Amino acid sequence: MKPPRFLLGAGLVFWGWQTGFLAIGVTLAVLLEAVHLVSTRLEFSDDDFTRIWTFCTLLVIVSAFYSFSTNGGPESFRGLFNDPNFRTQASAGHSSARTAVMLLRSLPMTLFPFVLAQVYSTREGISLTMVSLILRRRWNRAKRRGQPLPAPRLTHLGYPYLAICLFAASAHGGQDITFFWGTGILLIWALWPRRSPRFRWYTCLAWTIVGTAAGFGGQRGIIQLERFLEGYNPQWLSVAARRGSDPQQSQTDIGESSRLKLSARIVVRLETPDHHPPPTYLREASYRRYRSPIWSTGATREAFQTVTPDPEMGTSWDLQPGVRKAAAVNLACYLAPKGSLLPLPSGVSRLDNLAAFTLQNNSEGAVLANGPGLVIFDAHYGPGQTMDSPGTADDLEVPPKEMAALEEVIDELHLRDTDPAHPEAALRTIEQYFQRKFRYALGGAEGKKAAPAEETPLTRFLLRTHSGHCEYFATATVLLLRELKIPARYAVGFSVHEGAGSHYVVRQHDGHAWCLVWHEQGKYWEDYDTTPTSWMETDAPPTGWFQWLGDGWSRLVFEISRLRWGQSNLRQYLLWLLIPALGLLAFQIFYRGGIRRRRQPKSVAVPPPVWPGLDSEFFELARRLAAGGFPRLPGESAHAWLRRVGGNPILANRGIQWSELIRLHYQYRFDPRGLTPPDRQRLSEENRKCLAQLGDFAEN
Amino acid sequence: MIRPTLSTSAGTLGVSSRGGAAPPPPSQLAAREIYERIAANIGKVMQGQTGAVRRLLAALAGGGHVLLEDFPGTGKTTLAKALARSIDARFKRVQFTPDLLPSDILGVSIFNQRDQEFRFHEGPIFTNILLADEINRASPRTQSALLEAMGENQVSVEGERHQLAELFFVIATQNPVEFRGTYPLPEAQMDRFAMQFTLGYIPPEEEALLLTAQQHVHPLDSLRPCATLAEVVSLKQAVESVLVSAELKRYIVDLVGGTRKAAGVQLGASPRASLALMKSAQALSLFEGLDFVTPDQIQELAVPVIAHRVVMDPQARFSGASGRGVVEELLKKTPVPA
Repeated sequence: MKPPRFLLGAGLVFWGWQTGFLAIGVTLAVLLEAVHLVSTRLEFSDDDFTRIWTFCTLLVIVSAFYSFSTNGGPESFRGLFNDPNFRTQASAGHSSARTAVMLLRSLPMTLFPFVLAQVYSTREGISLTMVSLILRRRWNRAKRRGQPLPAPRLTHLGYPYLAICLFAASAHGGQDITFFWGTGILLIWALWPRRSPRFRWYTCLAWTIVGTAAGFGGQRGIIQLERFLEGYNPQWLSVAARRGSDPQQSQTDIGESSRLKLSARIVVRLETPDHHPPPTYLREASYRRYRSPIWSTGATREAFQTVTPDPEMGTSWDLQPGVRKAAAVNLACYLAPKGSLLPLPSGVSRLDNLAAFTLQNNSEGAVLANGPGLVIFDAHYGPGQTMDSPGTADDLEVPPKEMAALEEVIDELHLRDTDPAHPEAALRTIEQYFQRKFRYALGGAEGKKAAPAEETPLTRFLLRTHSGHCEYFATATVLLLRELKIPARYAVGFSVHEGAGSHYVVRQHDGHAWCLVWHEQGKYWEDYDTTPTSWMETDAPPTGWFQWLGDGWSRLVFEISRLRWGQSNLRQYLLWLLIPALGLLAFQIFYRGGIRRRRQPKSVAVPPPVWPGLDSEFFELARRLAAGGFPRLPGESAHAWLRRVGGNPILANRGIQWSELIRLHYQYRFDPRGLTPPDRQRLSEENRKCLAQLGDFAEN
Repeated sequence: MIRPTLSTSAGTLGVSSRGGAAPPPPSQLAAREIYERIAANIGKVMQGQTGAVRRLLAALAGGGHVLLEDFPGTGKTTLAKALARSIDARFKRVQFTPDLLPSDILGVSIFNQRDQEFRFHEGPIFTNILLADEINRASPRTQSALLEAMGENQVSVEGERHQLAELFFVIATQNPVEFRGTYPLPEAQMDRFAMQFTLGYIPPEEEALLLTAQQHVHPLDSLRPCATLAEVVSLKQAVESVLVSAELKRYIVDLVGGTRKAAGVQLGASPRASLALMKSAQALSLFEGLDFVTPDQIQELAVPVIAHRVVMDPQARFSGASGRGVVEELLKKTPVPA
């Protein structure tokens, strides 16, 4: 099936225009379409075509190597194998994609010699045995066994080559609609001569216009859908992400009628080496200034400083340069698309294997990370120095409204003479006071209706209700300490208390607030929590069988996220697993004839009938002719075939007399009585005579 | 002495037996001579229809019947009449009309008052060659009257079986362009015809010669028998002695069986088609001086023998597919023994 005139040329020019190879495209098109002006045709044998195909294959391989090297492939893959992390994976992925696109764009050039050879040859089509190793193998096997050779399938390369040109043109960088219209015109051009004769031309034209319009609308719709989904993608991920904290401020539930119970969804997973106990708290942020009901840092977001990763490791981040801490914990948590505060143990000095894009921290010890949806990293921590700024006057600020209640408590506890440099006794007293006299409750507004209008929620908590949640306790403690001139800060994060051995989990309802106390001698901040320990039981929702289901689902999401965000080595294992799978597939294709065939032993077990006369010498002549470019078609009888090829000037000029040969062959094959011995001898002689007349034609 | 040559309708390789291959038996040589005599006689009337004459005589010698379908005036009736006149045999013509009854073809029993008994009066079917002109103008009931005769060479009237002549050959014609007042032949009836083919318009040069030949008198009028009934019967017997290899029988079965699996086909060809194709191919081989069948004869006759038996489903038919197309595609795809 030959394509219409000039279609291939137009396809090449279109490809050149779209991919920036216009000059090359025009040149190739001229070379290809000049065939209509040149009457000379070349005689290529099967072997010639196979050689040209091999050459084109080599061109494709060379093109692949060139594309790979010019797109930084060796460097990025070397980096990936040496240090597999998110960045090197992304780099390798980009290199591979660029290589594939470049290779695709060059296909019309690399395959051009093969198409050109066919167009200028006397062949109407190319046998698939020339390009397919499998078919060639079957052909050779039949030849070795002396069986009648499988009939070649002839294919004109025009339409497949046009498809390659369009496919290559699709790898263009522009976002305009010229590709759609160009492809549409070429496809209509290609298909118009093949339209159904059942309809009149104007009906076909109308449907073509309708189809093109539908295609245009469809591709625009797909683009819009893609954009829509891209916009939703972060939202899907945020479903798996945990509740985020604001590094600038923390909106407390102080003064609200009650605090919502949070879910049991696992938000952080911890793994400690050698069954080492985990850190008690994972702090996300701390705040200095209290304006009921909000705690804030009193600084802007710009106060964050960028942390640079270790130039050698790439995924190691020093939060306290030069400080080494002994304890380590492996943390896994989700990140929101626009960044999240990392939950870190107190006194953290260094983060390893953190595949974040950027990392920032502020003077209140908050670490803001931007990166993939899931990060798994090692945090080195220990007692002593922290990355927070030292205590200052801001850490002693107490809202005037709360002072009266605080003074009353201080008097009640006889803490008026506390030395800020030695707060240990006061800390013990305050802790005992809250543990003994207060109780934990999610509701914090008991007695609100009877309260005077000027009474603050914190005053009500301290003096009347003695009941509240962790935010009440933490806020009251911070302000009490500040009233005693002890620097203190309000901290939020998670409490770690669920798990055993090396594995711990933190759920959403483990979110907690506590305070940080400045240790004047050691010059560091210390966690100080006065909330009664009963908060854990109160906050935790009742467990049941659905808790197991929820945990199972959480684990599944976690594992998928690990795979999705390259935090697992599974991809590397998959690559290695693919190799034997591909090997098995290749074995099936080349040696077993496919799985389906193996599943049908009956059809394989039945031996094909052995017909008489298959040892006729005529088949030798037939093979020579087929190798010379005159194969017999599947439905063509030997007689009709010789009549067809005999008229070709190449053979006609040799004056071959094969009529007697075909007569004897037919009798040998189809006369049930066969040939007499003298006639059998004559058949052999006639064949030799014809082969001699063929001379050097298609001689291997 | 006629020398056997390996040739087909499309041409010949111009070879002749040089004594090496066993020559066909004398009966076959005589049979071929009969064929050539009849073909030449018909050729005096039918200009440029060598292929059609070959096929017609192949069907006759193979024991089948022929349905000629073509436009008016292309020579269908003339061909049938030329064949009838070339053989010294009985010939009847029935013009099929909508009011034709089965008894008008088969015959009828009439009460003889003198003898006080029913006496069977044979219809035109009791002949050697029957021309059923415009067969699709009769109702299916009347068309079906031919079923038994064409299939079993006998007719049953009022419970009595009447054997037809040893040579009973039906040539039916029908016009494909007219639909009003016509009844398409039922599938069972179509299956009884060994072949269906068209004559087609002849080339302008041949048509000019035809005008010259018929300027004063129709050549048919001067056509004389050139073969006796016995000779034609011996021709049929000689066809049966032509050998067919098992491989080619399998090829025939593959071709016919392929129509049952082809896309768009509602009803494929029956084993009767395989039988008809084999017998027709045997006859053609005999005409070509061979005493065995080759793939070329099978391929030449595959379309006229199989295509008219293939019933396409309405959707495929509406899309332009036809039985002829299906068989031609099968001929291209089915590997032919070489």
